Parts: sequence; C-alpha cells; structure tokens
Amino acid sequence: MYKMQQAILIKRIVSKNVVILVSVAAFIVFSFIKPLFISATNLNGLLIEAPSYGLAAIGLTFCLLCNQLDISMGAVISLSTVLFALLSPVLGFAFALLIVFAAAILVGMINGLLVGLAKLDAFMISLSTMTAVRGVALLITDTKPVPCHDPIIVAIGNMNIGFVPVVFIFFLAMVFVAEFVLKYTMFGRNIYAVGAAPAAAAATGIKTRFTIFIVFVINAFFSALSGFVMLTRMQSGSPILASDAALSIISMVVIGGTALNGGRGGALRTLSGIIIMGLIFNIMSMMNIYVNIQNLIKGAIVLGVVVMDRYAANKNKKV
Amino acid sequence: VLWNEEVEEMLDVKRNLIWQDKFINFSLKYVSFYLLLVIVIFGTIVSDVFLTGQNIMNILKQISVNGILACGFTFVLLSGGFDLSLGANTSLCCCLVIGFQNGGMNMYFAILLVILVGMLVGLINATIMRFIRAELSDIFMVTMGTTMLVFSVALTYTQGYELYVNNTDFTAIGMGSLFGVVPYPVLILAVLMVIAQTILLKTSLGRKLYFTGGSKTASFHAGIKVPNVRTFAFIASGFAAALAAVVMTSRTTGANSHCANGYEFDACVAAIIGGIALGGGKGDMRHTLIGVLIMGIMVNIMNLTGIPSVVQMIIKGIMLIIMIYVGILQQRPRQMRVIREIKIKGDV
Repeated sequence: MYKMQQAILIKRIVSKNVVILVSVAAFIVFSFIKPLFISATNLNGLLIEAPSYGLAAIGLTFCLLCNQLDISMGAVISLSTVLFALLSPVLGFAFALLIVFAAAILVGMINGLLVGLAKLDAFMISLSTMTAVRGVALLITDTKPVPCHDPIIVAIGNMNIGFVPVVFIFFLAMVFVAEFVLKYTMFGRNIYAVGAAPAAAAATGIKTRFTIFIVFVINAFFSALSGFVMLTRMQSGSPILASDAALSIISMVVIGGTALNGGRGGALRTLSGIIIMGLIFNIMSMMNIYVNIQNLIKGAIVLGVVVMDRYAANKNKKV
Repeated sequence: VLWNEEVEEMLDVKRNLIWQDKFINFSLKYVSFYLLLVIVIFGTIVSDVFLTGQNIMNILKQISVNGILACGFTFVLLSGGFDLSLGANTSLCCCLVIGFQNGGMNMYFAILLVILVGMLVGLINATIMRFIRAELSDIFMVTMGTTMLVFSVALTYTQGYELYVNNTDFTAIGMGSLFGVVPYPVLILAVLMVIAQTILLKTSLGRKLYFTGGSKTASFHAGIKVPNVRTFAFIASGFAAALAAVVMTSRTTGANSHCANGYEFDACVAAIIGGIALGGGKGDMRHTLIGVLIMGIMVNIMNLTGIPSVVQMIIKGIMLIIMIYVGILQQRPRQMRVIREIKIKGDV
C-alpha cells in the first residue's frame, strides 16, 4: 500500500516537472557527447542568452495566464533599445531609462485600455500596436541601427560573477518576484481567476477589466526590461531587432506548461521553458545545423506545443 | 388595464429606439464608404495629378496584388478564421514560380504547380485546425507556426539568393494589357472578385461559409460540416496567395525568400477596413474592394505628397484599431440599448 502511494507520488512529481527533467537529461547527455558543452564559455553564453527573451517571456506569462495573447513584445523591445540608444547621450542614463520605461508602459496602457476596457480582440490589437510601434521605432532612427556606448551599459554587459553574468542573476530575481506575485498575492490569484473563468471572477467581485489592463502594462514593462538587457549585450539599438520575438517568446512560455487559454501555469514553469529552449538552440548551434533549419525546428516546436495543448483541452468538443 | 398601458409604453420605447438604432447602424454600416469618399476628396485637394487617368491606372495596378490577397483573406475571415501565413505563403510561391521556370519548366505548368503548392499550405493549416478543433485564438497560433515553417522552406529553396525572371512570356502577365487598355493584373483581380462574389452569395458553399463564421456550434447542429467549410476557406486563401505571387513576380521580375512578408497584414487591414467583421459572418467582396481601394489610394496619396513609407506603417496600425472598434460598435448598440431602456421603463 505504502509502495503504491509512493509510486503515485513519484508519477505525479514526474508529470508535473517533465520539462525540467527533460532539460536536465538533455544537459547530462550532451555534456557527455560534446565536452565543449559544459565549458565555462558556453555556459556563460547560455546564461547570457536566457534573459534577453526570457524577461519578456515572464511578462507574457502574466498575459497568457489572463487568457490574453499579446504579440507586441518584439516591437516594444526594439523601441526601447533605440529610444535608450538615442536618448542616453543627451539626457544621461537615469532619465533615458525613465523615458524608455514610460514609453513601454504607454504602449502597454494602450493595449490594456483597448483590450480590457473596450473588449477588443487581444491578438488583433497587439498586431496593430506592434506595427505602429515598429513604425515609430523605424521613424525615429531613420531605419538605421544606433550604437550605444553608455559606460554603465557596457559595464553591466561585461559584469560576471564567476561564469554567471550579472544580468542572469537579475533575471532570476525577477522570475522569483513574478512567481511570488502570482502565487502569494491577491492580485496574482485574481489573474488566475480571470484567466480561467472571467464570468465567475466578475461575479465574485474581481475587477476583471482592470486586471486585464494591468496585465498588459506588466507585459510591456517586462518587454522593456528585455530590451534593456539586449542593449547591454549588443551595445546598439536596432529598429528591426527581435522580429521573431513573438514566436520565440510564446513557444518558451507554452513549452514551460502555461496554458494558452489561461488559468494554468506560472513564472517558474516559464523559467523551465526558457531554459529548455535555450538548450535546444545551443545544442543545434553546436551540431552545426543551418539557421534556416533552426527556424524550421522553431516553427515545428511551436506547432507541436500548440497542438498538444489545444488537443488535450478541446478533445471533447464537437467542432 | 395598467399592464396593457405598460406594455404599450414599452413597445413605444422599443419602436423609437429601433428607429434611432437604424439611423446609427445606417451611418456605421457605410463608414468605410464615407472614408473612401473623404480620402478621394482629400487626394484631389492635396495633389493635382491625383485624378489623372494615368494615376488612376497606376493605383489599380498597385492594388492588384493586395486585392487578390485580400480576396483570399476575406474567405478566411468570413469563416471565422485568420491566416497569418498568407504573406510567407506568397513569398514561397514567388520563389517557386521563378525557380521552376529557371529550371526549364513550361510557364503554364509552373504556374499550375505553384497554385497547387499554395493550396497545399492552406490545406496543412486547415488540417491542423481540424485536428485540434481550433478556436480563433488557436488559429492565430497555428498560422504563426506555419509561417515560420513556410518561411524556412522558402529560405532553404533560395539559399538566401535573389531569383530573377528571364522569361518574357511570363513578364507579359504583369506588364501587358488586354487590347492595350486593361492591364492583366487588374483583369485578374476583377475576374477573381466576380467569381468570389458569386461563390459567396449564390452557392450553398458560400452560405455555409457565412453560417460557420456566424456560429460554429449552431452550424454544426444544423448539419454543416464545419471543418470542411473551413478547409475550403483556407485552401481559397492559399490559392489567392499563389495567384498574387504569380502577378507580383511577373510585375517585379524578381523574388527572394521574404519578398512578401507583411503582406498578410495589408490584406487583413484592407478586408477589415472595408467592413469584413473579425470573427466572421459579415461582409462580402464589395466591402473588400472598398477596403483595398482605401488602402491603395492612401498609399498613393502618401507617395505623391512624399510622406515616408514608415509613417504608413503607423497609420495602418492605428486605422486597423479604429476599424476593429467600429466593427464591434456595429454589432453592439441595438440589443444593448433596447434592453437597457426597457428595463428602466419596466421598473416604473
């Protein structure tokens, strides 16, 4: 009897943490196949790569938990890089940073107002704002990339503790803050409730429209953080940066186990999704796979994840 | 007696409101038409070459590709779907139609084969949707995934190079004109629109398309095979993508793996500005034509007055938001206001 209980417990733990287990297994197997894989340089590369889309993925987790699909992250990322690169020589670090976040939050507020208050379709609205924001980014830079030699940016980009880059530690801190907000505050619980059953949430007195609004603002804020981290790595802002962001970020969030239609998931799950996607692309680059085949695999992963998620959810529907 | 009076009063209110709503709906219904008029008047004021025959012919030629794509997009939108892979599909077809001919294939055979490829992409989309019983939000995700697949197939095919046409028979499609008056791209667009309008309004398939878009569940219970209807819509959009690719490459005589990326957004904006409802069930080819004309004339005016193309992106985005909101307004006011007013009267 006790053994059976133990077996069930193990099964449950495995099925809950399958993504983490797979990434650990892949990590071990590949460190045997390619010894170069666990060299400090490669691990540093892996960790420095993770926060760039990872921060935006944490933001999107809030959105998807609330059953809102936002695809404007790529545009916000590129806008924040070019804004900072343009403004920091003129206004100085702190003030430029303030304006960058203000601009990103403005985009999030526009999205949130239109989706939350006017109840328009989240995907279409973020598609439109994505186009408009990218247009603004192209307009203010005259379609050229802008270099950014701010000393603080360069310093942050080169700062390591051991082989762990400091931006990764910041990223981990943000993940745990997000997880805490989602799991242990009333606001976080409200997000789950609104995502899973909006009518029931409204009936219990949760301000559903306001929750949706805030979720979009949070997503835009995290996208701006993501843009800032990318800026520290590349030391230049580009208006055509992150054009594949929506696809990559959504696949990170969904592969981690956050449902596409809300109410299930969390920031720690997204962290495991980010890590496994980073591993997959790192391994593919190590195996000398062409970049277009990598894109093919990225598309296939998105399709596979969406099909698995939706097939299970819609199995009993007629059409 | 009292009860009767109350009912009379309520009916009176309802009648009044219905007249008000009819007025509001009338003005909302033709909002895209007014927009077209305003843009044409604006164009004649700001630019003196706008209303010349040469410029009008130019506009018609320029809208042909977007018009063909918007036709395909209309079918998908009417069935309650959305096709993000349209642009990538067009790029792939552009590359293939040139590649096949440069490989020594007969021109007509190459065009036929490319149309089959375009329809195959639509079929793949639809098959995945049939498997997962997709809602609108899932369709966004699925077509986003297939966009990536199709794009990388195109990139693998071209190896990143530009492809050029060296067949004068083929370029005659884009450059030539019937009797020296009607350019072939415009002719193709017109014929396609007439055929599409006939399918939508005169065939049972068209009616089923509207029903599916209106309510998936109700159509299922009425015995309509919803997945099949949707498959038809996506194959139609793939067909449009391939046809647009043929017209586009014969006009520009060149293609690369991302030459039509973003065209799906233009097609979608055109269809929605014209008044095709997102989520399906409302609008026909007349709306699409108006939307395509609005887009084409807007771009033309901006080019004539020297506004950079980047500003066009911003304006398109803002316009799409406004038109989605108008589309929602068109559906909202009638039921809500009648019910609210009757409730107030009912309390008295």
